Amino acid sequence: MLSKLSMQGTSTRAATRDARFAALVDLNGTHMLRLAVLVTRDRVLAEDVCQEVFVRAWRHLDDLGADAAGWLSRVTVNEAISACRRRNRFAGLVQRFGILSRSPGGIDTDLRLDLANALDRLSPEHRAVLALHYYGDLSVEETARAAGIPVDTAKSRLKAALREMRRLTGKEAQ
Amino acid sequence: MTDEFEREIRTRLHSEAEEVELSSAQRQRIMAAAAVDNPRGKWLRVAAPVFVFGATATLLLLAVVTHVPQVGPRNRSAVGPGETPSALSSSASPAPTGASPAASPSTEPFQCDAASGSIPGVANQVITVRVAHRGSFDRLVFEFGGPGTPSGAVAYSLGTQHSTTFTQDGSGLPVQLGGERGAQLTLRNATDVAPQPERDQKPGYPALVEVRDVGNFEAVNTWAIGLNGTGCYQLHVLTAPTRLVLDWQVP
Repeated sequence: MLSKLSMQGTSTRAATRDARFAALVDLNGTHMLRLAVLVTRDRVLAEDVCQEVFVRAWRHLDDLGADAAGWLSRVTVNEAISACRRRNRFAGLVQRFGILSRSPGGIDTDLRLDLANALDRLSPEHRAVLALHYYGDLSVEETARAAGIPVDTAKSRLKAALREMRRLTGKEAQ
Repeated sequence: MTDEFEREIRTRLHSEAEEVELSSAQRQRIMAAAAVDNPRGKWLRVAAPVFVFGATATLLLLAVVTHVPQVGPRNRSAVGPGETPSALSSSASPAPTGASPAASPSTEPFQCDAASGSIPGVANQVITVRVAHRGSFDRLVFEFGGPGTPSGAVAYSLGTQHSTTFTQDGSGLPVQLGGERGAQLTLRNATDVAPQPERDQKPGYPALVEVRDVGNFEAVNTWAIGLNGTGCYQLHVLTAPTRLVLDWQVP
């Protein structure tokens, strides 16, 4: 009898946990996927990132307090940056063996890139602060917190990202 | 010029983001991945390799004992066929890989009373109204902009109410919003511009349920807000570009 009650309690707790996790996915899934897409510029990679982050969230579900969304944003950004680095390392290897011929060199000054192409060329760290600050409507301090970096680093990254965007789009002289 | 360029980036990022939605297939994949990672299955994941390793080691030892008769009794008793190598137990609890949950994003207190103020030197068009869930609060952003030079201060007043019924300016008809309680934001010397911002958004967040334009006449722009929870908020005025930000406390 006791074991039956215990099993019932366990299954109730598990069902509650499942429901909490489903609510977390429904409430934050699209925002996280968007954040991951903006950092990676790759929908498929972003979906992988999103899934990985939610699996981690599942493991830590009992530790996530009121700021679950903040935790998810931070882990998503960091995981997206890591995923970009892994992808770039692979691309670098492919390029080294001559399969790709595109040069990673500087941009032709006559070529004025549109914003989307310029974003493609930014480092994932710079894209992450732009995404948090401009898409997420976060202040610099909140951006730093969401990216898990010091405020000064967030400021300098934002500044550098904007400078690079101006250079790539030919708006630096304006 | 900086403002304009930053606004272009902001608009670009938002338009790219709005093309992305979590599909039901992706949601199912996430739920399936979590189910595989279920703590109830952790025992199996840990126990299975231990069992396989232990069984293999036992069989090997049996084979050695059976085929090497000169092994003395002292050696046989050191690692008997029924024993499990104790070193394996130390690998049974993998360390968590994720970052620990952060503290609340803002330590400022939420206020529950009415508020008013002005935003000086701002272009007087509300060009975008955005919503976002941020964990302990739901954010509602009114972004100002528009062509021409700033035409004086925009005055704002925010009032809270217990009902979610508002009055549509002009017609005087009642407007019912979702949620348990309401708030009304009035922006004077401001107007919103079609087709943006969206005039009725229903995000259905824990605190912010609905936001709807209920008046836009003679530079008085009124927004009704449907809420759940306490109805308490933090109000911020951010610059570059100028934004009025309302963070609604999540219950």
